[in-house]
Amino acid sequence: MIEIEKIAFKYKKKQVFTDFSLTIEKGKIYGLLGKNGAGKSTLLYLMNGLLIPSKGKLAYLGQNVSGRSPRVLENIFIVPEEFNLPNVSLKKYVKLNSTFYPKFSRQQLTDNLKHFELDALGDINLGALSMGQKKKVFMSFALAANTPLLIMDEPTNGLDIPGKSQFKKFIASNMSDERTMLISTHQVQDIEKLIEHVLILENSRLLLDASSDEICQKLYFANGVSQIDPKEALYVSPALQGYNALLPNLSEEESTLNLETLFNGVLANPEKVAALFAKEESLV
Amino acid sequence: MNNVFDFKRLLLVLNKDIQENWKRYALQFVTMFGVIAVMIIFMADDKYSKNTMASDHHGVFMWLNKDLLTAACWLFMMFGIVIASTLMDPMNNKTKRISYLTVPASNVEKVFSRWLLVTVGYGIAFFVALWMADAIRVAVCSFNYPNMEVGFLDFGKIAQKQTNNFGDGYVLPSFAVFYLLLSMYFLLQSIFILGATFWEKASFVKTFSVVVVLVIVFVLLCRWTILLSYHDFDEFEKVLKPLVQSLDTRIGLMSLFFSVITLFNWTLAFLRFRESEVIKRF
Repeated sequence: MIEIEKIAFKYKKKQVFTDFSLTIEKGKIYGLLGKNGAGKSTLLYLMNGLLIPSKGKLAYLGQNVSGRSPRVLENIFIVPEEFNLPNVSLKKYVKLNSTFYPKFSRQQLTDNLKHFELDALGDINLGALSMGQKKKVFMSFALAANTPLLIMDEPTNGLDIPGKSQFKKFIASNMSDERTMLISTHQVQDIEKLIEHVLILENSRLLLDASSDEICQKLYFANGVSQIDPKEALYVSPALQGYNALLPNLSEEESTLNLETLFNGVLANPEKVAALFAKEESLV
Repeated sequence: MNNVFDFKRLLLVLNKDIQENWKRYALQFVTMFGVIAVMIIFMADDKYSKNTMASDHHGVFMWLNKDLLTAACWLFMMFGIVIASTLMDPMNNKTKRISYLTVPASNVEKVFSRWLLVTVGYGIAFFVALWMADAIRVAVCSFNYPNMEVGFLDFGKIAQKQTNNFGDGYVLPSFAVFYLLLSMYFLLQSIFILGATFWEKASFVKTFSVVVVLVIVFVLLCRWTILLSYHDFDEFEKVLKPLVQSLDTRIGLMSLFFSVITLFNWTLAFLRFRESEVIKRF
């Protein structure tokens, strides 16, 4: 769906990406993780044509994204961490903006707003809403636009506690085989159960690019165990009850993906993790 | 739909812009109307109060008409460049840039819709505001000076059709001069449009400062070059005169030159917009 091929990008003095490549496939929910300043938002902006790489190819279904052509823009929707909603009623906002998205569904928007308990907003000025309400409205619109690619940067920031749990159900109910979602967040527990593919970015390098199934196949997540052999583990952290640890899954045991442990483990032992994931590829 | 330009999509972008920002545009219109109204009512009142004893009422009216038209031309230019410097207002902060750049319309449609608003839209708004302000002036002056000749602005007196016998209340001696001034206005407007693509915040002040500095540098450079090559300006004029003899040719060439630079500036502004990004990197 999105092909990023050997792109280079830099801010004034800081080189962010050099020969960076990535492929985003259709029908999956991607989780993009990384420390502050790792280049996550930059990557999201590049994928939407909001930033232009100095070198390389960035294409959506073969079309150059950096040209910001209507055909590309009507297929990619971005929900940034901070966004701007005009001082108009929701009704007017929908009327003025939905026309740009050929697959926009008003029914879906109504359902999404109902999901967030915001269905009575019709004539209320968007400028009068709280940040959390604005975010819910914007995400409802974004999903109703039915763009094949939906990019979200820190979508759960600013949401209240019920809003965060509503968000998970909301994403799950709006997902289809025709749609791809790319979610960048630090609040990993909010999206843990949704993620089908994990991307970990560090120093402008992809340390991990693997599906959840593949991760659980190759790594074992020991959650709340009382004893662990630190020599065996890729990463160990104390938990409320014992330890959380990340180990190579040598005995092919099933475990539940813990994104926080995975993230810390990959960052602590990038070479070992890379070797684990590369091994299979070289056998193939 | 065409991926570069589609008229229906242009109308959608324009409609979205106007409807989402109508309060700001309305405020700009009211400000413009207020300034015009205060200025022309003050000028008319001043003229009538000083000429209540005049016997030639028509002469006073023609004189006032000329002054008001001159003031209207200056106001048109001043408001025009201020409005032109708001070209990139939909992109003056990061969140607005994200919203605007991700609207599924082409760069041409986005820039053209903004250009239409600050050029054609502004022109229409100015003349509506001027007409409304003039109607109030006529009402106020008719009430205050019932014995004087009071009438609406006569736009036919902007430029004289025949170049001989200049006078009779005309603002400009010919249409050639009118077109020259119009091309100068568009040149100035295009500079402020271009400036808006460089500085999205306080664009007017920044562009104005740069233009003042550039004009001073340019004039000084020309002066020094001429004095270095020809000793004095008379000698330079002697060299220049045979090249372009008639005044109309000079005016025509200058209008053409300004128009070409205007087109160049508008094109450059489009190219600057096309390269704009969510984060200002350079």
